[in-house]
Amino acid sequence: MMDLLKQLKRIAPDPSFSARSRIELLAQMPVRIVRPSLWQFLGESVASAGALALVGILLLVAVGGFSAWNFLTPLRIASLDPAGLTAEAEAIDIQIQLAGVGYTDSPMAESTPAIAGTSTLEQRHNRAAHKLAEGLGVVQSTATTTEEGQVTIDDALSALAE
Amino acid sequence: MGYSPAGKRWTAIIAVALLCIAFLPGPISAHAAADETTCQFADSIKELEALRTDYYGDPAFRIRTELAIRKKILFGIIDCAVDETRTLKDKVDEVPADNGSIAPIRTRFLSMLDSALQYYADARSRVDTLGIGGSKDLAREIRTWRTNTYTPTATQALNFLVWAKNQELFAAGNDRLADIQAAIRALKLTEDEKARALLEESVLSLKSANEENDRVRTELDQFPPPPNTLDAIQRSLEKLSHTYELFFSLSELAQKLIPLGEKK
Repeated sequence: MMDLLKQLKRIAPDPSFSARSRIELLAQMPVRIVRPSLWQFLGESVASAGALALVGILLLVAVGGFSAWNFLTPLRIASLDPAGLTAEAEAIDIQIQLAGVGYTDSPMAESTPAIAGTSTLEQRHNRAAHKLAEGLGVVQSTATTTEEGQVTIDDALSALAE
Repeated sequence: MGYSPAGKRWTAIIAVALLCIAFLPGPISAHAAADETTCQFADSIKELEALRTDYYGDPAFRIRTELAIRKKILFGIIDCAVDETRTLKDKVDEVPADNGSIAPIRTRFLSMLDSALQYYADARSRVDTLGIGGSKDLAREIRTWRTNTYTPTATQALNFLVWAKNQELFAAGNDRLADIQAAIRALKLTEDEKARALLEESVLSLKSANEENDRVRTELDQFPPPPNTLDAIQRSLEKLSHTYELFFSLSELAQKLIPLGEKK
């Protein structure tokens, strides 16, 4: 009996069988190989940023309104956007007012005594130029206006020439 | 330390003399001087007229005083005119010279204004040597030169400042039309008769505004300058403004033809 037990103790599997079985078992186990990849990292970042951007756009649309004109800028339809047109049209209006400032004759300007040797048309253009000079900040309003009590450079020269 | 009677007498004489000097009319009263900083000449001119018409005292005193007042006014006039010319020149100098159509006109105006400053410097150097007749002649000479040379030049320089600023607006208008044409084509809005008509009208309106703007440029190159350049500038701007009215109409029509959702 004892001999039999000693023989059983020496029983071992066939080496080739045990090797094959080990391989098969290992192949069936879930192997997790952690290999940090730059592309994977970048991909995840882009996905997160994209999600955030999408949330931002949705918030903008929900809270701040939405202009399809601006959205279609690639098609250059933004050129028809009334906001852009208004800004440019206003700049033109300001220039029109500046150019026309000399021709808004006030009754006081009309009653200004004529300067010797100048025609009515010439006076009108001179007055327009004076007003334009004031508008452009070239002269102080007191230096050249022909308002009552003011003597212009040319008036003073005419008085000195007498 | 006491005063002697003789000392007291001399003190009294000096005090009376100082009092008399204070009340005597000087060669020029402070009031008569032209205020150079504010270019005010009205009071000085009135003072001169009062001296010539109402003073019947010592003729020599009258002549000395009149000459002094005249010289002060002439200095004031020239200094004021120089300030005005320098300010105008600075404004012209500030105009960007990178635009090909602006640069040559800008250079010409700067040169003309430099000549004007030289003219005033020469005139100023003559004032001290003048008598009453010479001061009248110089005043007449400056007045004539201003009428024939300076005022037309300065007026055109002012017109140039407005016109130079306008070039940005015209460039924006031309760019805007090109973009609108591209958008209308891309969206096939030309198939709509009204849109097509509005676009054609916009093109013609801007063309007319550009032509008027070019005419102003030609006028700015002329000397003596035509008297109505400012009118032409205004017309060019009004035509440009009309073009933008057509752009607004196109914009409204485009919104109707292509529903683009809620706008800001």
